[in-house]
Amino acid sequence: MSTHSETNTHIGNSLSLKRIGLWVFILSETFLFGALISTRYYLQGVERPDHLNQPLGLVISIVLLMSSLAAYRGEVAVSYNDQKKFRINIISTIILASIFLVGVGWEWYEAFQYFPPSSAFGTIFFTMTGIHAFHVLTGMIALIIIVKMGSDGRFNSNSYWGVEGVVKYWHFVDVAWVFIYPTLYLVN
Amino acid sequence: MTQLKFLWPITRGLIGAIIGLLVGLGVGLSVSSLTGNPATEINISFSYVFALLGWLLGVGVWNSWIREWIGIKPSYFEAKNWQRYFGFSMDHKVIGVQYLVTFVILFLLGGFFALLMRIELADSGEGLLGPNYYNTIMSLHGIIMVAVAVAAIIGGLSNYVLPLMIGAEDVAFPRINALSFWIIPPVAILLILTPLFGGFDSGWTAYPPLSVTNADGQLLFLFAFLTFGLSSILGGLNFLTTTICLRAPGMTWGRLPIFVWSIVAASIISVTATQVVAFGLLMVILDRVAGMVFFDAGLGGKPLLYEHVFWFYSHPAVYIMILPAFGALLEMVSHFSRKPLFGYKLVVASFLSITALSFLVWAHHLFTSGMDEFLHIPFMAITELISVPTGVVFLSALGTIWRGKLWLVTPMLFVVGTVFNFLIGGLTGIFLADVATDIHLQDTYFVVAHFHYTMMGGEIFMLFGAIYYWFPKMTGRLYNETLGRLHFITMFLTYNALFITMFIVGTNGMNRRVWTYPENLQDGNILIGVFSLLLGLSFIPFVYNMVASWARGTVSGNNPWGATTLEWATDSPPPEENFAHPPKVDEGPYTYGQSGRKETQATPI
Amino acid sequence: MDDKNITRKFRHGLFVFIALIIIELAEYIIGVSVSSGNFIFMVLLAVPGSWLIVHYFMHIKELWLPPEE
Repeated sequence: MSTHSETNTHIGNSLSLKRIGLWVFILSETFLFGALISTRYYLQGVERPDHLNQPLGLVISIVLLMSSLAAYRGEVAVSYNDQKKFRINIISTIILASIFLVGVGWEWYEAFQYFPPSSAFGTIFFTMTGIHAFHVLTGMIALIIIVKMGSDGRFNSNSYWGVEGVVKYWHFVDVAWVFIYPTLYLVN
Repeated sequence: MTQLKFLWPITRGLIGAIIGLLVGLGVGLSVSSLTGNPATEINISFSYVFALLGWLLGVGVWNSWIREWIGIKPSYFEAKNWQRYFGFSMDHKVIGVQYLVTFVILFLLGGFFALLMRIELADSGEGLLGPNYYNTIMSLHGIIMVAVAVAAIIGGLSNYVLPLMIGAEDVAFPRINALSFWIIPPVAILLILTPLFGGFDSGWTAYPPLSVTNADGQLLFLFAFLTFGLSSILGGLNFLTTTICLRAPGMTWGRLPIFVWSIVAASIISVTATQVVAFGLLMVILDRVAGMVFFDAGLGGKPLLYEHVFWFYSHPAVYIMILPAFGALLEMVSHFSRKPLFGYKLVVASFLSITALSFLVWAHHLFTSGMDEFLHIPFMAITELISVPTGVVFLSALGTIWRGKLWLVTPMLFVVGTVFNFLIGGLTGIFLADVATDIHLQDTYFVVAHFHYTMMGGEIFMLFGAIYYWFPKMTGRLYNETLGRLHFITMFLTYNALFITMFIVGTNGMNRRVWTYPENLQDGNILIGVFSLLLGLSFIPFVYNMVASWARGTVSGNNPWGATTLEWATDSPPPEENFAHPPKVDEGPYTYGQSGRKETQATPI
Repeated sequence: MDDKNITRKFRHGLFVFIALIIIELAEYIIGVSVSSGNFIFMVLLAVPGSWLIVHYFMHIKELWLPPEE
């Protein structure tokens, strides 16, 4: 039993297997975010309240995009076995992600005053940002595990699926935000 | 003490669950004291989520998974013989049996609930259960049977045979596979606990605004369904990846057994659509727990939103249920008619087009809900369009039987029975897809009888047929043929008598989901009650047959049916690595009647 | 050799990032200034934006490549 997960390797290419598995998962998550975004239009059309902090939304969007760039650089670095750059970039990703979460928290604080969860727009706003923030949080935990595994020397230029998978998930969280941001803040 | 070592994972899981429950309760109490929202539901939510995490970590996720991430040597569950079934085993054959046994037990439990409902309905006035218990039992029957229909064939049978059929050593992600099974026990426990929290009277569909305002039991139901959805997604992900990546050399897409194709089609639906219903359930939970207003029409919400989101999953979900049944049906039709499957490529095309179309028909559940009227006709048309690929499946089954050499053993009897049942189910569906007739038949027993004809007559019959078919492969022993036939004949006759009566009662105006009804319908209801009791009794030979044959049935040999697909090329039961010599496939799955054909489609390398 | 490749790939990432920033800024400006009917602009900007990430950062093309190893 103990060797069960290893015995699979001779059938097919295990890296492409993991990749396809992750892409299927991403496809699945796409439907979740699709449902979220459709719900916003179904319930509220393109209405948007006056007291929406659009500049703050722009700032945290850019922060999230920066974190994606850092994650990309981390993956490139580990693929060339540059452990130092890998570490620095993934840790910056985590820091940028925490800034993003602080930004979301700030928005929630403001939102409670103008459109609390018990109002129509608030319901959508808190659910969408909440579900997205949950994904950011899980991604951050995964990134922290990746940093730990990297410092144990478990990634090199030949074998870095852990980094690739987590970074791909992280980019997906970013893609989701690319749609959520205009849906919540900008559409009118 | 060492003999009981195999119970250690479950014990650890229970300890984890209790710790999680207490932690969650603490978090819940602090959150509810901060916000001042009604405390009970917040406590339930946090307690459950943490208890679920604790259970999963304890039962094996920590030991065989997370330890690897943080650099500790993982330890895997090891046990022999029947003790294997009690832990976080990663062998797809063990998990398949775990799934199958669990869901057969749940099926019998759900059937028992149906009998309780019939006892209440034997009297047109108030009977044994009374309104609240009746509603809870009715809802429990619904959700348990839906879970059985979704997971028994995919989680149980296809988990066991799909990797064998494509010549793989295991599924793509063995640990995720184990996880998707060990998520199930909390679901069952939550559902069984609902009566202690006031029950839930919303049916398995849980429409708001009722489901937002009723007793706390509803919240347990919502969490149970949500958790079950997670398991379904993980299962679908595994089967898709397995089929894409782990086919044996020579097993091209055109050589896949038709059952594998049906699982691929069903998995596509379950990885995508399930997310949507999970979100729908989450919205109800948020409305209840966090005071949001998704479904509060007075504050800008729309109750109809739930129905759209719910049926966007739940209509495709019937294809998650029926497609594997079609797959198993065509599989057995070919083997027991000793003929190649008629129209293999057409069937594959129709499976895939059913998958695509199934996403576009959901609103036919909403004809009487006040949805915009211009949507009625398109949804009616697409719904009727989906009967074309379904008809192709029928054509293939009949075309294979045509001039075949039928071998009417128990599995084949179930096949023939399913073809008959599903024909009735399909034809009565036309009346429900047509807006004009549906408006009158909506929410009557006609609908109940229709979907039992498709789901039970189609899927559950095929589940039992397939259990008989693959029983020798799983256990290495033959079931008792006489008892098997007895099971089929009693089940088939009582089942049809029961649900044909339901059609008649339904057209006479018997509403569904009610505990009381006009007195003139009492005769029909008593008749239904008697037939359901007999139907329940028909499972006694099945259970006895399975248990007794597994323990001391005749040894079957590797290929008792002389079937050609790959799973019969290995030992019965298969060794842990499935194939002692990795197989190489060099012909299609159904080569009956071809000169010079090999025993199965494979040669060992 | 490696250092040169890393720098080149980092530069690629930077270009994609800059393109994404431009898209976000354009969205923001349209969102603030066009007072109604800007939905179509949002779609027209968000779809290419997400495609940039999916293509350059997530390497979706790998799904169509034959297994390498």
